[in-house]
Amino acid sequence: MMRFMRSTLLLLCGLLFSALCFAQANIRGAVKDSTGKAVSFTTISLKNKTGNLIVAYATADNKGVYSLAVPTGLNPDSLLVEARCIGYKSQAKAIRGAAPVDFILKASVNELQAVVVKSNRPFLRTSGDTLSYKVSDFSNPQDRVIGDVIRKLPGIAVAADGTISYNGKSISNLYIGGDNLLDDKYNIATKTIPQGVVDQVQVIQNHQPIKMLQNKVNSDDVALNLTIKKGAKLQLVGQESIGAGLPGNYDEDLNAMMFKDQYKAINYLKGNNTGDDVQNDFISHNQSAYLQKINNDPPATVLSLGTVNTPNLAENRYLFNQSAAASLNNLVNLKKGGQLKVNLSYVHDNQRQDYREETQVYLPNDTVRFSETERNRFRPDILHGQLTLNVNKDKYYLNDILVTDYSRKAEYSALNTNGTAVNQVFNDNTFNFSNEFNLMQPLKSNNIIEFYSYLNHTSEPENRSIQPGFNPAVFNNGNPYAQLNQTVNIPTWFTNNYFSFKIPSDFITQSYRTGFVVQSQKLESNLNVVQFNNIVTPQSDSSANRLSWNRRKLYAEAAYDLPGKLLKANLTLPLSLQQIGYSDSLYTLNKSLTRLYFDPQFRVKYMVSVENFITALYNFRNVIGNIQDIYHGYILQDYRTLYANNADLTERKDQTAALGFNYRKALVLFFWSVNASYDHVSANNITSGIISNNFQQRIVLPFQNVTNSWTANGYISKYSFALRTTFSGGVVWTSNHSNQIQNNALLPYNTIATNLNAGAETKVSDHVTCSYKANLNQTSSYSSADGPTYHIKQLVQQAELNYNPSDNLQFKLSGEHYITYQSQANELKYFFADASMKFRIEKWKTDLQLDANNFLNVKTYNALNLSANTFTASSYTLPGRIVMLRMIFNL
Amino acid sequence: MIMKRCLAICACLLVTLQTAIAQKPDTAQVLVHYKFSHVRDTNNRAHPYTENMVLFVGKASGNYKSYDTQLQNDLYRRQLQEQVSAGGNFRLDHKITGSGTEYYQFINDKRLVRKEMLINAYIINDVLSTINWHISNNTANFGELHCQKATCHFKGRDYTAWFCPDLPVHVGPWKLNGLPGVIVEAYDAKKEVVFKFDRVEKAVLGARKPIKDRHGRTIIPLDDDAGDTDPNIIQVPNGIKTTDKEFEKLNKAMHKDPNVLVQSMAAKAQNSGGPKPDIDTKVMPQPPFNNPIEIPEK
Repeated sequence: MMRFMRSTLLLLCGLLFSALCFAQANIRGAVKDSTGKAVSFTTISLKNKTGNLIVAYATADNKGVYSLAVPTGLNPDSLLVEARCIGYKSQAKAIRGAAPVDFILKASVNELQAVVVKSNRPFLRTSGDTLSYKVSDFSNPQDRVIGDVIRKLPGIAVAADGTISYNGKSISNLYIGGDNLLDDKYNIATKTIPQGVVDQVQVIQNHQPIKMLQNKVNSDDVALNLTIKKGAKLQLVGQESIGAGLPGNYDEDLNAMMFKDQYKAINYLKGNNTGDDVQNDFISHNQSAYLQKINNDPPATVLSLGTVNTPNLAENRYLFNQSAAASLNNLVNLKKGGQLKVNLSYVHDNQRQDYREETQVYLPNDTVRFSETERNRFRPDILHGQLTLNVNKDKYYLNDILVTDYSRKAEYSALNTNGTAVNQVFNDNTFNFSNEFNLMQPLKSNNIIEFYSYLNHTSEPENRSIQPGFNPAVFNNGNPYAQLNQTVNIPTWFTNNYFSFKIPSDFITQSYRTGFVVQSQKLESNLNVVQFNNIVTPQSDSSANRLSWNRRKLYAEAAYDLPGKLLKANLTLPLSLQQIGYSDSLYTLNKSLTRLYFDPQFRVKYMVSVENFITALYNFRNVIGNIQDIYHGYILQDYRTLYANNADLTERKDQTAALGFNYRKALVLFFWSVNASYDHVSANNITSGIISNNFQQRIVLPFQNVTNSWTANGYISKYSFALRTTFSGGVVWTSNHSNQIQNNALLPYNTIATNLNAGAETKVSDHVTCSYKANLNQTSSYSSADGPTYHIKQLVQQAELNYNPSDNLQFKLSGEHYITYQSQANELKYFFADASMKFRIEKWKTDLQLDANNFLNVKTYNALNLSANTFTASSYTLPGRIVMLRMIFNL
Repeated sequence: MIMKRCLAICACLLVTLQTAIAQKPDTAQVLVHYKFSHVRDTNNRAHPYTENMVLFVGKASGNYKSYDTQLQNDLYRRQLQEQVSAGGNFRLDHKITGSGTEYYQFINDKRLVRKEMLINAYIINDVLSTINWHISNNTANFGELHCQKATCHFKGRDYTAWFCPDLPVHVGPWKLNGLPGVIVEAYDAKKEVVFKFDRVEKAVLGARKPIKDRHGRTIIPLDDDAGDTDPNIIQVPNGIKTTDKEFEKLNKAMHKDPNVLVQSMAAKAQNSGGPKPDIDTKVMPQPPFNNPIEIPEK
């Protein structure tokens, strides 16, 4: 009995043990190929069916036999056994109890390479603060110039005027092969350099161009650098284009470029009448930021023709022009380490406009209306020259820029307003020159001394005459007369000089600066009436100015920089003593004021991870008015606006606070950024307007008023490897609370503007690419004083299809659709279509291109405009269909 | 008896033939590029030692070496060819900033071979360490490669490695190996030793052209023992076989008294039949190195 019990107990234990063994399963098997031969050293992995993740693995021996233990706790039914070996196709099988899992593998060649070829997608290389895009990854045969490729790069957006921004931030400079050939006029490069010449487009963050200050003084600038291919560095490069078309159009572009290490040049000559405004090549993208930095506010043009705004369309759809431009940009790197640069440009144009406009101004009690038709002609002649000498070494920095500008603009306008004819001739000649000198040197103690001197002279004599005798009731005591002449000139001398002492250290760099600014101007204006007998009399005894202005500023500034790797911060504390004096003998005006201003600025950038960062800034600025805020004599700015001031200078306190977050994952080409800012401006006076049917009179009232504005914007860009598409999008939201006085009523206004844009660029196949862009603008205006609210919405959609059946033949079809919605009116819809075909003649190494722009021949455009409480409806004449044949060849 | 011996000899020959055929060298199909960084001086973490490295991945072996050195060698060969074709005496600076250390991993034989350059090439044979990897469920994409994460404790450091199962070769950078896929990125917990994924590319096969002068004679550059073979062939090059301890002794001696070793190089040049080269050896002062990659286990 006992023995029986013991044996059953032993049997039970045995059974239990074997059951346990079964629970800890071992998968065994053998791997063979299709001929029955063993496949040695195969990798056997255990993967879970859901996530396809490896949970355990083993290697078969040299006879192809393996044994793999299933980890405890895993259900064998949720797992697959996979066999992989180089030279064979992988295979996966399910587990069936304790049965062996054998594999018979099929041979396959180049398996590894197939995986790798798939991953040779466009790729970004990152190195510290520099991000590099390989141009060949993003370009296609249709791209002619580098600007065509830059707008397709993920993370980079190009605005309509050519301004380039990276992940939401505008770039400070575009370098070519490391050299600064064009300063901030980089449209010259993006529109001229052929894309085949550029190897990489590099984005350099926190770019500090001055060698001496690198790693000592922060810069949150982002710069772009185009690296040139080795072959292109040795020879003359050029892409010439000669075109002619109907009805009576021409388009020539002849250029010669050189990109050697020692010598760089972009020289060209171009002319066209197809709506391409050559002045856009010379847009100085950072001009306003630069002027604010050196505290120079040169006087703006006082007079204008008072003509209507240009249509809200792409410029080549409405511009009637006959432009010609010549540009010479040459840079030489001297042997001793200096750099000499000469930039010259000349523009001549003859533009005409043909418009009609109706304007309504809404006031609490009534509405004021006026209408006009216009035929205008503009003839600018602009000459710009710049000479720069730069020595940028670790032990020595010298920079001298000499700039001169000379322009003559003649403008003619035949206006018919509310039934009255008004013909105007406007001559606006500008002459200015400036010299900026900057010298930095380190002392033995490693501290840096700096000397800076800036001198500028501007003069802009303006002369506008109106015929026939316009509004005699206002201008000639009711008597008819022949002509009304307004002349204005504000010759200005400006200088800003300072001395600075920097103490660099590993932790905080201190800078101490002291300097002075002197601005000396005279405003001279006359409004004269020419009677029928040719006698010239002043319009009244209060329509002339002989105003003298002097602004002197003595300033001292302390700045602290923390140029850390994770945390970068900058605190600037400027203190200035300003003295302004102005006098005008005609009005017994003689005032002066002295102010002590403190304008602190703080900005910080914190690297949350290797590629992401947070930025924050706070600014406080005291802004005082300028000479155009205090002239007492009436100036007829445009034929409808008689303007004079009778209050003291406007003094504004401007506070700005902003916060932003920037994300980037270069490995998968994913960028996004969000920014928010708040601006609070309080001013000590407000402009007041009196509007009647024939003209506006504005005076300034000493009324404290406050303007608040909030802005939020976001940008996103992602390249999808699977779809071979770059997706990009952005949103901008602005809310502005301000006040306006019209006809002695105070009207607080709130304007909200929203902009949404989205785009996609796809490479459908090796022969077909297409792109789509949509831009939605919405503006709404509200009055908290029970006035009506107004909304305007405009949606612009652009689509483009490129088809390249062979290397020698390319087709392009594109369309642009505009829709404008507004409350209380029908919607306006316009559609423009373009087509283009390019054929390459190998024997002559020449391309022949046939373009049909606006081939649906849309000839008129109507537009609506809403701002504060003014509503404008305009109608424009458009150039219509243009068919061009171009011959393009490279040097 | 004689028959049996004949049979035995034939059998041996066949076996050797079999193994000889089996010894056809592995050729790389794929190259993985890394940016290697190593904090050599813990007092200067902001400036680690960095170098561009490349891993040649074959069917069952891997060769991990300096990409900077390879590029510099290629440049030197090109410049040498230009000067030699022009004739006359040539003077060329062979500047190498990259390291000469190479690691060969032979997975099926479980062998790790390390090659060092100290005037001559030295070959150190070792056993390929079996690393106890722990695979986790995390995945990430490196470029287009889908990778899975694994961790281990190896030679005193805790390493995180990302391997790509679509490239089923058990190799990785340096001495890291044994995962069911090529290790494309690895770093230790303190980020003092980092093999950062830069890019992956197809191997382009093709032997290098020998450098010939105007008379058709072949010139072999002194420092380039790889000679004209195709760099994609994963094969341990010729060199002086030694052990790790012996090599460390030699390395220390080099830094103390360089001229003794330089004599051996001069001797080698004379053996190849060329003129006795004029050599001037300077050993630059080494920056502080207090954090080796392999830390002894406590």
